[in-house]
Amino acid sequence: MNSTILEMKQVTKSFIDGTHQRVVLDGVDLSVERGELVAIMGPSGSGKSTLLHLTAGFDRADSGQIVADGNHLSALDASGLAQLRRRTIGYVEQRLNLIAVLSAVENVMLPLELDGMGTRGARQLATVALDAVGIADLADRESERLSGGEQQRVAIARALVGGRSILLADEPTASLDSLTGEGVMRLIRGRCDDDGVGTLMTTHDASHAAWADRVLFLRDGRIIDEARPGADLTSAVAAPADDEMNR
Amino acid sequence: MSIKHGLLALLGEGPRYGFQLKKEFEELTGLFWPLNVGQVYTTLGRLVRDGLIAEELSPTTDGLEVTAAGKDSQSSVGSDDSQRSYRLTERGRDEVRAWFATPRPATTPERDELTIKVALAVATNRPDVTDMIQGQRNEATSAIQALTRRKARLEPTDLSQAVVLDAAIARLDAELRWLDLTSARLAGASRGRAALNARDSGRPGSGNR
Repeated sequence: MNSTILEMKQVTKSFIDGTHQRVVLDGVDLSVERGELVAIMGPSGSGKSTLLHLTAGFDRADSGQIVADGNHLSALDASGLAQLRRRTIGYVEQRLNLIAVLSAVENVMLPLELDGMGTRGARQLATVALDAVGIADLADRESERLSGGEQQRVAIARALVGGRSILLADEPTASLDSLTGEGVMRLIRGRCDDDGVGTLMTTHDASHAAWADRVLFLRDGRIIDEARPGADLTSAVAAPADDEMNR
Repeated sequence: MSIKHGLLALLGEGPRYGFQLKKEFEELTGLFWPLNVGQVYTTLGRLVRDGLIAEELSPTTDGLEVTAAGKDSQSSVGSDDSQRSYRLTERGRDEVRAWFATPRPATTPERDELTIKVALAVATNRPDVTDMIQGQRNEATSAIQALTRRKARLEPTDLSQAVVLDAAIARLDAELRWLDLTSARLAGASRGRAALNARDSGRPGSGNR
């Protein structure tokens, strides 16, 4: 499963800020393999969200290449990008954007129906997706009656329904308490490991970023460093001494 | 911490052999705190001496119920440690209760090497302080990743191991938040200096106005 599912090459993006140009991304190179979870950390304003927005095709890079599952984003028009988001790229953010009055399963069916699938088929796939995130039993509950963690699970199911291969997650655990956030990270990790989904996520929380295979550090629009899991340290906590016994 | 209270707390669950205590302690801490056998038996010897536990000689391996206790520790010198089991005395039980009931004093590692290293780098205006902070950030992140991998492999029933891993992760997480705060503080200070310099040289502050 060692094939690249998402690649950015020398991507730059700047915005006009009043009278001068502010460079937000300054030559970003990165890649995500199938089944890989990559986290991006960096201070506010380092360009994390912009990076995900460009990858999802919500906005366009000034220069450089973005290739998502073989699709060159710069070659797609607006409807091509919309189709890419319905079929290939799932997007989850901190604000969940579920439709409150629709049930969990109806929320998950939406992207499939927008893509022209019939109700029956959409419901079938949505049920599979809800099962994969562990809340099949809540399928018919209105999303406004779900807890924050459950809503995030619905959002992830919606992002991945129909076998989409790329998950982009912008601070997916930021509004959740620690244990619920860990549950969501476990879930995302599981989708990567079990279904080969390639995930790119941003987070402020190192303990959630730690579920990733690689953690990229973004600063001033550049990736300045990368962390991978260290040795399986058993010495992170020193062995207890028995000095105190000598009394 | 000493392993004294760890052994006592385990014995609160019932009599144990020395090797059993070692194994259980290591399992519940997720092999974080490997004990050597000698350390375990030395500690048990002191606990017997202090009257917190009593030892019982077991003629058979399944003899934990044996009540004919070889209580006199001197008479058992030279016999095989692995055949002795230990149980809490009433005093030992009080000690365990008191230990669990007493909050550990809150401590701050004010002599932590990293804290002092960063403080010194700032005080001596080292130009590489940013790289130094990033290097440490990478180090701590790698460590959290390794710990998280281990946590991911735990069974839902491995609660005590999860608790120990959470503690190690939370400490590193706190270190990372402090590194971020330090970066931001240094960046803020250098912007402040730049603005002051600009004002002193008679030009309007650039950038941040």
